[in-house]
Amino acid sequence: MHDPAVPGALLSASADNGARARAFDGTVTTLRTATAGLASGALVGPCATRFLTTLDGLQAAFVTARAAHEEIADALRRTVAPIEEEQQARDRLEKAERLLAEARQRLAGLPDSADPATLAQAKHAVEEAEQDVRQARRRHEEAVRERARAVRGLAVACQGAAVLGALPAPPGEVVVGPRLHDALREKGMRPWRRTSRGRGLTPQELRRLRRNGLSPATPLASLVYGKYGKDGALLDEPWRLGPVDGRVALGHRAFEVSGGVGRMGDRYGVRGDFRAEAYALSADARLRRKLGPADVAANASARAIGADASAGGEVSAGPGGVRVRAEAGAFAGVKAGVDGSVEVAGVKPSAGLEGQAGVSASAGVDFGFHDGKLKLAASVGAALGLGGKVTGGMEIDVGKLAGGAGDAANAVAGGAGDAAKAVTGAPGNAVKAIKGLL
Amino acid sequence: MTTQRIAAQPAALTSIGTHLGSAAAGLPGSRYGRPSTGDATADAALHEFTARWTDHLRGLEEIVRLTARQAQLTALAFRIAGG
Repeated sequence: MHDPAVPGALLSASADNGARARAFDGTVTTLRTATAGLASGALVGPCATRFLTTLDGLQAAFVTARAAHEEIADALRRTVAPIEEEQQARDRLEKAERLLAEARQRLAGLPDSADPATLAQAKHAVEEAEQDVRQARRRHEEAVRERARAVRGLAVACQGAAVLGALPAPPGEVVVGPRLHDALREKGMRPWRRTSRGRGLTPQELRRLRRNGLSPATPLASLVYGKYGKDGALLDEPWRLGPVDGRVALGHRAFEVSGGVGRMGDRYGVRGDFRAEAYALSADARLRRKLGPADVAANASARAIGADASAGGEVSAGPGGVRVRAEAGAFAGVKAGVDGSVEVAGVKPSAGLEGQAGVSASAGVDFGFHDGKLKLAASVGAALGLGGKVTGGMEIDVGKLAGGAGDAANAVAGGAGDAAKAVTGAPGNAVKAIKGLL
Repeated sequence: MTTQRIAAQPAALTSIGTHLGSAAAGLPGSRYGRPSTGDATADAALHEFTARWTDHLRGLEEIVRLTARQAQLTALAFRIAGG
């Protein structure tokens, strides 16, 4: 019987696991140092809390990794001697059985007329060999039991140590607001005071600043922006059917947090968002069409077996516009809805209706003026059993509306001119009077 | 520490980021093969242990690297802010 076990390879694997465990010691020490550094004031505030939470999670994970690898190193090492002993006992048993076979063969080969002393000696040799085999077999059976016990111990240890905890969440994205100072100066806003004036920056950081169009010598305002996102789906596919396209997702889940203080596009202010979503099935469809002078958009969506939560707020203002937004909502159940909008001459009303079965409550308002567009949107919804949600809004492109009014005036003027020309033979002062009115 | 205030020592934070980067770089990889004990159940359990931890450690390493990078970026943000 071929035995694939190689004690040397098991010993080597044990040593590798032990080396890993010792390496994790170093990682845990480094993480502890980093945590102590953060806790002693290297970073203060909500972002420090996020970092500390992540580092605590990493420390716990590496402590577990150390213990798991050490346990497997020990369990592997404990199998080496029993496997070696069982293999040696098996060799001895095989040798004893071979010797017994030879002794029996010798005895059987003796003629009936053989010397009684020789016959007795051969019989004795067979009896001794049989005794050796019995002893070797007993020892081998014992070794087999020991080996099985050690190997079973390894299997149990592996099964226990392979149960893993969740990965700790990273602290979130922290980035520098791009070109803030230049934007501030360009828009005539007063930059905040800077105390260190760029001292202590490394060449690499200076290069990075230059790449982003930032100057370390000039006063800068800070932008610490946080964002964390998570998304996932068993199936998430786009689809298209004629002029309609959309997405369908199965087993979708999402989690997103974002917050910002400072620049948001060309405005400055404060923003906070939160979104959590989990659905077994979600589907969306949309249609965009131009019908004469009108741009028509229609959307439909459906969510089944899910949960939904969102909260958000923003107050921002700047030379480019202003925005005030507040919304909050929670939902659990099944919902489906449609919404649409039509744009004619810069005026774009929109409305939506959603049917809900479950429990929900939501309300939101969004007001802003940006890029010459005035936007207002509001929504309200509730369900306890059956319910719904209504959304409505209006977007007015002031520039386009003014242009449209001009075009309308020109059209009226042109029409009036044509009318005037058609009135042939009419008194000239009457024509002058009409043109004068326009 | 207070949540009403945001502040940092950029040099200390950079050092933390560097430490974490080194820690991620020093994490052991999975190099050994598949030793056999001669028992199918134990061999499968050992293989499962190795495969799971290799994946898990890859994930942990990624998070340590990400945390290091974010510490560096946060330090830079505060440097620029004059912190």
